[in-house]
Amino acid sequence: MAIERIDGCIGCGECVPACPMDVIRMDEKTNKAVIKYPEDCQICHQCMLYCPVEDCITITPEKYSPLTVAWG
Amino acid sequence: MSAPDQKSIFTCSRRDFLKVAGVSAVGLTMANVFWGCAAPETAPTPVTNGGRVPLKQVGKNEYETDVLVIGGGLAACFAAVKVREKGLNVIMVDKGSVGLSGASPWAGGYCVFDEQLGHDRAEWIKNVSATGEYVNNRTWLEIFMDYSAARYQDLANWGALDVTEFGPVLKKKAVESGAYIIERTMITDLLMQNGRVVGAMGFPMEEDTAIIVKAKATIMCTGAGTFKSYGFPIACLTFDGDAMAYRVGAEITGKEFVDTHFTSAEYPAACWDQWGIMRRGLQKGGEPRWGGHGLDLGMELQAHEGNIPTQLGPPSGMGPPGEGGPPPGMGPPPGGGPPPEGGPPGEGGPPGMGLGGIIGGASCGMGVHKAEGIWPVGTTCASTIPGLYAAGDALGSMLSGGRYAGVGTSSSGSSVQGAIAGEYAADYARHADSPGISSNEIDRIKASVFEPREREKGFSPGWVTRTMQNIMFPYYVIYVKEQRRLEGALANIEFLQQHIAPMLIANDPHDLRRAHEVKNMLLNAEMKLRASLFRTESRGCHFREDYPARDDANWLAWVKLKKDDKGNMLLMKQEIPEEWKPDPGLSYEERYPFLRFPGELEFLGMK
Repeated sequence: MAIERIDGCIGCGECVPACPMDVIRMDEKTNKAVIKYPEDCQICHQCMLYCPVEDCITITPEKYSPLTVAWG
Repeated sequence: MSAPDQKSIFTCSRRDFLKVAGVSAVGLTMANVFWGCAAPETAPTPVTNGGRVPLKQVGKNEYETDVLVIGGGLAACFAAVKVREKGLNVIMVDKGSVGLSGASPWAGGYCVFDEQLGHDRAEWIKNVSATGEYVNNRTWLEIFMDYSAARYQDLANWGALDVTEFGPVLKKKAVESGAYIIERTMITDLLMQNGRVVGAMGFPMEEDTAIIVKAKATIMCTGAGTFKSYGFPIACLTFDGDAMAYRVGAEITGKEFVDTHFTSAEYPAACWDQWGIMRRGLQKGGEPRWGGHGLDLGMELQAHEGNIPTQLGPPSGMGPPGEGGPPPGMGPPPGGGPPPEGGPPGEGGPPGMGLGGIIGGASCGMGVHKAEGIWPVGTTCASTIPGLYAAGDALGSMLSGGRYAGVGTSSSGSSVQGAIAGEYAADYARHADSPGISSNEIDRIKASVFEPREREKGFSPGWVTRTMQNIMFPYYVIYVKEQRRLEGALANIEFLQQHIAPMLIANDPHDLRRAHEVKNMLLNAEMKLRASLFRTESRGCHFREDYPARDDANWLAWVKLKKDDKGNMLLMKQEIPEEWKPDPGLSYEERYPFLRFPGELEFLGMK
């Protein structure tokens, strides 16, 4: 849902600043991009626009949200 | 499943397009671009797991400059470049990345007033005034017509028109002009000294450090905002500038009007599928047409009658794109009518709209382009607070009035205002004293910025945001308004602000951003609800079921609000200049020919 997967990352880091919602981070150990805050993805595709690797980032148009509950 | 074939939108492959764009989005290798992280000697112990952090572990990174520009879009880049042309220093701080956050990357149409294309000043003033229902500020339109061509020429000179992705070109220009850029850093508080704004404070996305920028002048280029509503790609914009300015006593305007962007019912959150078509680069064109280009409450009024899925029909003033028509992707798709059943988004029907039709509220929380934000004094983009300027969607110029005549005046409008703010803020800074804010005051603000990081137990920004959305999203609150519904929403919003928001917790700096964003969105909700209650009439994109007609006797005026001495929100009415009022010889329907509100003529006793 929304941003789903990063597969084949070459570690260029372009997607991190491209995301206006701060969804993606570089993993310190692997130096590859990881989806850290998927709930904030606005499905704008800016990460894909600036990723140099074809089909590396998978984004679907569906979005899900946590349930409405009394407090949290 | 990935987005509809991107190659059909871009005529080259992704690699080629990056080469053409020529500039890396990362920009870390550029001098003068930083992510707000502390220099090694002031770095706190890294917090790798998130979770609570005591305030004493939060470091400080201080900067000082002539002019601080908060934001990184069209307005901010023009402001920064103009400050540098004046020979002063400028620091830009962007919550995201310069050129790639907010609404600016999605700018398609770029309206330029050009007499050689047959544009006529008097006609544009007439079109904007009638569409904006007379609460538009004509002075700001005159300024727009004076300078839009020059700003377009600037973009041409910078190479921003040669590429589809112009954001990195804007950033490159800012950097080359000598602006110092701090990115991925949210500014949350203005610094005050003796009633004057002397800079601001915030924090970066990946470290518990206070970023403090002292400046002789500050320009708010923070754009507009929404309630993080789905389907319009500006979820990063949360009225941070309006909130910060309000909290230091500035006047805010335009909050009773709503923007009416829309999304697909089947994939309401899929911004790219709806609006990816806008990413074609800046296209010169568009103009304010008599009756505007279709952004009005027509769809909301249909929904209110139960006519769901709504039909776009032929919106007022909207024609097929073509010569003189709206640039691609702006406004409702041509042809109207419900999209055909079946088929994935992007096939058949209007692009991206898919099954189930179209729903409004994609930009719920936002006002009318160029008609919402910090109230200007004079024509220098100065606010009512010394040292504070604003430009773009953060400036409540009221250029558009109660409804956007557009089209494309938003992007060029931001450019024009950004350049003006840069020049005048630089002039102010040249003669202003250096900031002398006390370290006690800095520490006090720092403690309040990081309080959610230190708190052990409380409410999560996610839950508070969703609860706020549940109050504000239904169309019958701020699209189809009525006194008791507005008051009911206000009672809930006030409770969230007064009881819940002070107990927000933040697990890490990203969460801290969410906490501050929700506080700003709650404040914006209060502004929108109070301004809507205050304006007891309907006009443009403000519709009250209980006052369904325009009331020229009482409401040819702007609504402003500001924080009073007791900390309460004070609402004020400022009449528009006499010479801007409509001809009293015109009938009501002649003055307001474009949209009939339900119950309007009965309310006036005209039926």
